[in-house]
Amino acid sequence: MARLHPLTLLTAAVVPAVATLAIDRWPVSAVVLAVLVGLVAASGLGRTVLPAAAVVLAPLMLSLLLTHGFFFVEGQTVLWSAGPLHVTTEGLSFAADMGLRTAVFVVAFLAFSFSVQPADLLSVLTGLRVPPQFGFVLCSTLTLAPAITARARRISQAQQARGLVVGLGLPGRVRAVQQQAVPLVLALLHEAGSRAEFLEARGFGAPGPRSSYRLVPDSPGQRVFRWTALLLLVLFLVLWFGAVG
Amino acid sequence: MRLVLHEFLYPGDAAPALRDIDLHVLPGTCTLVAGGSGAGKSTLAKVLAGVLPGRHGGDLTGHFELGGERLEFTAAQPAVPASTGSPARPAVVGTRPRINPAAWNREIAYVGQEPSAQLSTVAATVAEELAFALENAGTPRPEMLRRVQETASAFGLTDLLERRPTELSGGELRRVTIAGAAVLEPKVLVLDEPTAGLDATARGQVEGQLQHLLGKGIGLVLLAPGLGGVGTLADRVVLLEQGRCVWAGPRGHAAAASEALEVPILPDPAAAAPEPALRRITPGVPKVATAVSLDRVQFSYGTRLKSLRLRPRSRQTQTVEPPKVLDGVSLAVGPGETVVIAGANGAGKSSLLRHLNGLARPDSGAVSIRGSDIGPLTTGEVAAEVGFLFQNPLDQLFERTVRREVAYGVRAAGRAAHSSRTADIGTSGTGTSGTGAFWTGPRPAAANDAVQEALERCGLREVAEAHPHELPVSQQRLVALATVLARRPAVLALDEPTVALDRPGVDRLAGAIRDEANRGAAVVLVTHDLDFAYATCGRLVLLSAGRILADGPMAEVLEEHFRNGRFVGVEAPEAWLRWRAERRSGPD
Amino acid sequence: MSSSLTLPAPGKAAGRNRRLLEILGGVAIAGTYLYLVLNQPADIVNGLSSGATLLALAGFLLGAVLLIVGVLPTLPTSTLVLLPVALVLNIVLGQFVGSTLVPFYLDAIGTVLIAALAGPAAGAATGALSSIVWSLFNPTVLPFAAGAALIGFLAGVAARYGAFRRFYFAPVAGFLTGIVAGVFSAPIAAFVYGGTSGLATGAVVSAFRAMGDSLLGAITKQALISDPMDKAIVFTIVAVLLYALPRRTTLRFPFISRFRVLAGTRGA
Repeated sequence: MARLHPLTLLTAAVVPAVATLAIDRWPVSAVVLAVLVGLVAASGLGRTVLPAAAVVLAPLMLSLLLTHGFFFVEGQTVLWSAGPLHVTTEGLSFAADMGLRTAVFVVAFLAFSFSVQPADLLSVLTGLRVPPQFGFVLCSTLTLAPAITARARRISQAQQARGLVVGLGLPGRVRAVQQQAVPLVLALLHEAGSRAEFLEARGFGAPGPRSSYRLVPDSPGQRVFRWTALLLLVLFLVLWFGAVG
Repeated sequence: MRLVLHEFLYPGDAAPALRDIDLHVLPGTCTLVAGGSGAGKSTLAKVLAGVLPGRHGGDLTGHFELGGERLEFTAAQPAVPASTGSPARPAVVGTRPRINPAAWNREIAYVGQEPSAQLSTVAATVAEELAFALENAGTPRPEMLRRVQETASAFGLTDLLERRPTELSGGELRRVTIAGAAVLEPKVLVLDEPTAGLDATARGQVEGQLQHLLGKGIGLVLLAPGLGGVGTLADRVVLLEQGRCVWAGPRGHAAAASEALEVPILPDPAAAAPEPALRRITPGVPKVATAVSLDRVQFSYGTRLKSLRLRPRSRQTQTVEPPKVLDGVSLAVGPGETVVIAGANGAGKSSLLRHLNGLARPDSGAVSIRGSDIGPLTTGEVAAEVGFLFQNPLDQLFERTVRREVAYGVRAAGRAAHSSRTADIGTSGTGTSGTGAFWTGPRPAAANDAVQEALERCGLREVAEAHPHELPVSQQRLVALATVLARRPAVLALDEPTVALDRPGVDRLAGAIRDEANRGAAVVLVTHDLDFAYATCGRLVLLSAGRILADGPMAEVLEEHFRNGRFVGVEAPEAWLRWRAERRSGPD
Repeated sequence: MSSSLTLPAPGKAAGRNRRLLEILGGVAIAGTYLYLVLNQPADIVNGLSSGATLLALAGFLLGAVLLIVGVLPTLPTSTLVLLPVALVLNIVLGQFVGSTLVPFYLDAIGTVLIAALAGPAAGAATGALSSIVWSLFNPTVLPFAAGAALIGFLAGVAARYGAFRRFYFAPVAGFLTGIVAGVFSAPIAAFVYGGTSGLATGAVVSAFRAMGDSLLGAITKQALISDPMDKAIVFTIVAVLLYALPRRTTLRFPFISRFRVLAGTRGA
């Protein structure tokens, strides 16, 4: 698959998510979700996006089902009832409305974040004159996360080598975390201080325009797609809300 | 470029960190600023880099002469009321020019100490990392491409351009950061310990890189703890002690001057008096038992835990047979032995060391401490017998004061020694002092003695109440060493213990190794610094691609394999080469 | 001084523009919240109209982005480099705790730490950025960006007025911050998701629903149980970390010395 422009990907995520949210009917959300999942699977992102989406959505769905499936006190059509539990049509429908539109939103945005290169995004943001600090925080977080988890592991090993025996009980673990959190945060603050010096010595944050080494391929076709999709979305929102109320 | 510095103070400090320094750097020359740990080298580097005083980094008085301009810095002084005895003085408003980093960079570029902190963390490739400073200066893209290509080919980095910066080796990282500063084509480049922690090959490459820069007419300022190694590029030397320039002159006279003034810097090994290797005798300790042994250990990184990656874009990873890091290593070290393990980067040295305390577990084979297999023990339990010194001391330190830090190790070891599983191997046999009975019953008084003794031996008595993070790097390493010594382990495993140590630190470390061996502990160290090992260790083990190539008394292994001065990426000790050359030329 | 190597004194105009962005961001967030509260439907079955939900989302997001764009360029580099570190702490801990069956979040340790070191504006930007970056892995946190900014802002204000000067002040300040944060984020959870995103919190909501509360009421009560406790814990952890730091590290932050955030760190 050719590398698409980050804004193209963002448009492709925003349009279905916003449209579904506006329509807010669970059958529509279900259809959009099915189409999205199909597209994601077809583009080869299925194996990364879908499990990530499941991790996010499973607790949410279960929580909604628990709250509205059993405790929807406003419900009229009771399907099943036991003590304080009332399973109602309205409750289930409300849970489906909320859950499915969230699912569309989650899958669309995860597909975006799993297909965009952070460095591409940074380059595009530079071009759009967004303060470089924003792109820095975004990309740096993504780069640092594995380094920080690796460092946490190294500190844990160093503490074990000093005779810290990690207990099986909760108090032992809490104490171990405490002894490891202090050196971790200290080390991170120290390293951040050194990095600040490095960034300043490389002229980061200096006034004046910034340029970008990375070239993000764009095409007239993608530009047309972006503008058309956004215009159609606005048109749809105006018509939809004009008609509904 | 010239810096005339009268005084520099960190915020909140009463005494200046730097004073009375006059540094004049001509194009194409190299100035070495040498000094012990805490002498103010890094502070001076940051002042030169325009990083300090920065927005709130302290008070600087002095001036820069740079690019035909003169920049004056004066410190603000509060008004002094007449009531304090001295005549009243009005407040003085300091002038602190706000340095424009982008413009400053084109005059003076700077490469700091910690390589991992020298990455922008926003670049996806080495090429983008090199371009980072150019991007910040708003350089047009075609020129940026040209400069990145030129710099990469000049420094032999062309093959690395598409690699991820986070996946580089230590030596590659160092070369990339230097190239990232050189890409701006500055007039002066300031480098803080540019070869610390590198192996011989990488050191040579960095030195070549610096020679290339000198050839192009760039002025270099090197900051280093000694006169040797990369310092041999220097024309002039400035000796720094307690923030003051105590001597400046041509390099040839620097060694003599540092001796005369007792500046605690590392001597140039090439100039050190040639003497034969110390015969490491283990007095009074019969070599019957082994303190630690590895038996046909095989190890590969296949079973390593996956680190959490917060990178949305997944890359296709192919599972290949993980390469063997250790391939059938057998090694037995007796009490009182001092062993150095040498080899190129990636030979498996650190992995071997990590097997000694169970941080790494063999895929097959066994590791024993005093004859007991450590297989069923956790690392925390093995720690009662094996003291381990890590490359980065700060990972090990977490207490508020040095004393609490050293005491923590003692208390934890006492606990572990009391646990049922370690009790059988936790018997001390060779203690030479009264605290040798520590293992069988740590009383608070004995523990306190052990702590106090460890602090004394590492020269930390004065700073016992200081925060470990606020000490100079060299002393931080000594704190980590003290935590190991206080527990009187049967085995000491030291990973690159000399990196970032200044001269007093190296002397303390060498003394500690000697004393521990005499006490009957087995000392195993991994180091690139074979000169240090030559003076302290009796036995040399050469490791290459996970196998032991040679193992024997230091002098014999050197004689057998290092006739050309170099073997499997390891450089022979300078002192040994000199001694050998003199023995050959001298009358027999 | 006219030198090519130095910068002119900071321009007033640029500063004013930034301040304007910050104020606009705050106004957008406050306005959106008022709109949500005033338009809340009496009957949950009708729900909030989807148009109102969209407007609320857009308002909060716009406010958060304006805040970020306004604050970020004013931060010194030494503070800026801490943001990614704080974000990783937030996200890793938040993701971990969110996956357990504990009705807490602990996803604001980094935010509160930055707020205590560098002040309310930096705290607000950290909170908002944290939600935006985290939404790359968990898009459901995106609507809470404004709430996270509020927490960072309040933590900074608390630090400025001495919440970290005494050890026992910290949990109290955290508790109060949690009350405000809970009341603020409950309508978002109610109208955007119709509930909470965790099972443990969902169970608490269900319990209140069973007692006959409205959905917004139940979620607000749940938030008032979880948030104050959560923030009290977070503030306490941050206090422990702050006092473990070496003096020279904390004094590097002008906010710390200027407002005497920590006991015994009076500035020169």
